[in-house]
Amino acid sequence: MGKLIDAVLVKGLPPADIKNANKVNLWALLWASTLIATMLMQDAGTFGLMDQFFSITLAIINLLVGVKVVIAYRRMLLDVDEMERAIQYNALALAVAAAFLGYSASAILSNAASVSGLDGSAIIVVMSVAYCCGLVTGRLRMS
Amino acid sequence: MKNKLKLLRANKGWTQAELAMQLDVSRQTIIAIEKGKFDPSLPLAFKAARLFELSIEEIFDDQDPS
Repeated sequence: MGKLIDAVLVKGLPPADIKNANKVNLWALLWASTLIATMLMQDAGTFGLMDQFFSITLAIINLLVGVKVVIAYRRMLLDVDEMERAIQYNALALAVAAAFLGYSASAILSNAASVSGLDGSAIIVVMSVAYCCGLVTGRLRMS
Repeated sequence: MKNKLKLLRANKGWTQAELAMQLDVSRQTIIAIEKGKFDPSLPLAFKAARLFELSIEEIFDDQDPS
């Protein structure tokens, strides 16, 4: 159990790496917040007649914040300790594989009219969960 | 890959944290290398070799133990 907690909390990373990881987390949180806020405001009809203008503006803001997430993540990957970098690459590979397999499986099932196909937000959730599982199992494997 | 990192570190009287600091990696990386769970990159292997004043082959052994 202690190893699992250490793996989740990334115990032992140098302070500089933790600082970079925190930057990524903050930008990702901001990105998710702008995405959710935009969707909620659109659903509530907050923008009224200016809906299209505000939707485009908020989409651009969300996109710019997303680019900052990618830049911060890339910087973190370049600076991070080499074992943690290997773990991150494996987790990314797992996330991409989960997205491919999840989407193809749902497409087949959707074609057979068993279930409705996975939408974009579900793919993001599948990738995020697979990425987190990849990180924790990778750290456990190396500990 | 087998290695003598633990033995060499013990001979110098260094802790895992001290060795990690000198090699500019995390303590977790040192633990994983010592246990043979993680193979270091070539630059890190060179760094370790320079630190212990040995050749890479004297620290790391890529022979299959079987």
